[in-house]
Amino acid sequence: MSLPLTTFISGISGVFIVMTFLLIMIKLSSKLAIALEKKQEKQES
Amino acid sequence: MELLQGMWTSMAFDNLYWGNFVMWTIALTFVYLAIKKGFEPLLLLPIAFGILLVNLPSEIMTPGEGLLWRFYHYGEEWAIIPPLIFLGIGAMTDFGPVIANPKTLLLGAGAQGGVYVTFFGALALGFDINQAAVIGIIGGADGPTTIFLASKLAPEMMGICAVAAYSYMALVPVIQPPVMKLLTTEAQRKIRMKSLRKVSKLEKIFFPIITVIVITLVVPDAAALMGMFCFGNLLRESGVVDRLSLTAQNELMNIVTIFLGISVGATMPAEVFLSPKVLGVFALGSIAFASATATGIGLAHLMNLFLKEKINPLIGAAGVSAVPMAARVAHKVGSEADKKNYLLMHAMGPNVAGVIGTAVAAGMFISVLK
Amino acid sequence: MANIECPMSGKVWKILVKVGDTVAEDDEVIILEALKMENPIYAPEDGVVKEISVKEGQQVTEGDVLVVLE
Repeated sequence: MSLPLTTFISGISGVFIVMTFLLIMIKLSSKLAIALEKKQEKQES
Repeated sequence: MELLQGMWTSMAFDNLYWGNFVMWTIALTFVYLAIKKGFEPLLLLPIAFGILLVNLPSEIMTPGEGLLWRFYHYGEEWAIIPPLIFLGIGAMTDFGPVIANPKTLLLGAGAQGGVYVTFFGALALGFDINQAAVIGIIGGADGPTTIFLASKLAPEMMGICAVAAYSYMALVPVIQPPVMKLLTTEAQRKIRMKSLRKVSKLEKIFFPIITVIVITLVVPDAAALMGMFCFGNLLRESGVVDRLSLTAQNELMNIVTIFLGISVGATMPAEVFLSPKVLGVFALGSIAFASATATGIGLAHLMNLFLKEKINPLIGAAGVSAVPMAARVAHKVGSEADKKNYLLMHAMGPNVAGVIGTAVAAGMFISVLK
Repeated sequence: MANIECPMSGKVWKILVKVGDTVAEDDEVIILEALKMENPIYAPEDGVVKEISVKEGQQVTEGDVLVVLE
């Protein structure tokens, strides 16, 4: 495969892989954060 | 008489040629645009003065000696300043809209399509592949990333690509709306989006930590930019180091902007700048912005095929990471269709995601081409 | 009777109505500043201003009640 094509395909797939991965991780970390905060609230009350 | 002749040669007039005068005119035009029209004055003014200085005969850009060369060498060639600017941007950015609606991350990726459209355009115009990558990244509408990539791949393109990126950023409100209207229907522009949920403090603290881990693992070459970016954001969201956060976004940012601007300007002596290639870069720059807008909107349409709760395709255009101009444009075009449609905060999601997207795209270019 | 709610977070920049004013649908009621951009907030329906719940310069977030109409 020619270099420009390699650059293009690896670039665009890299961007989307990162973003998809990030999307999943952010959703998980949000859930974790909200759960942690709820737990803390319960302990305080 | 001999005395006068001696004085004349010690003066610098002999070393001027017509190209320098053209560059003076360009520098003064930038000064005018910055002051009178408010075109990104914080950057354009230092850049313009740098252009003026380097086109006066002196040793200010002589390697190993000149003042501006030192700024350039240690700041940009060593790629120190762009990551420091990212530190400031990270400290300024509220990722709330992204965390509340993480799908907008994909829109930030979608707009990077414009980078690759321009990349192939530049190759077709006969630029070599490294130069084409730097020209392409203009489509990300991110000055520091453009300079960072240029320093790694094609230092000779740094000045012109930075100027193209910053000047088109100022023109975002002109370039984007026609493309946006062409690619959306009136009804689509009227789509109202459900208001964003509140994001808790802990979520905001998690965000930069998760982001830096994910991105560095997948694209190690984006580590310098994204590392500083996430660090800045953590300073902001931690809430315990306001002094550091404020310094990163104000004083430090201002200091490095001065060095960045004037030394980027100094990379544009007439011999380098006045070539037909420059016209090519400017033409490609406008294609870059327009096509990034188009691919962002395209991806939004694509996502709407699968989503139950439709997104307004206009916010896809905000994936062009000129923060917050592109988000404002999306909001404005949306409110022209329906004046009670408030897209601004929704558009901030793809907008800040676009910053990440462009840095990742730059990292991918470096990993393949270097 | 309707509440005018804040559509996005920002700062109240100008209040264009007084208590007792009659407003028609789509009249500009308040101008909100967000991201250095002026955003007019419009009345959702005809009515009379009963109460203004915010002051100029005040920070508001999404969902805050700005003006009460009746």
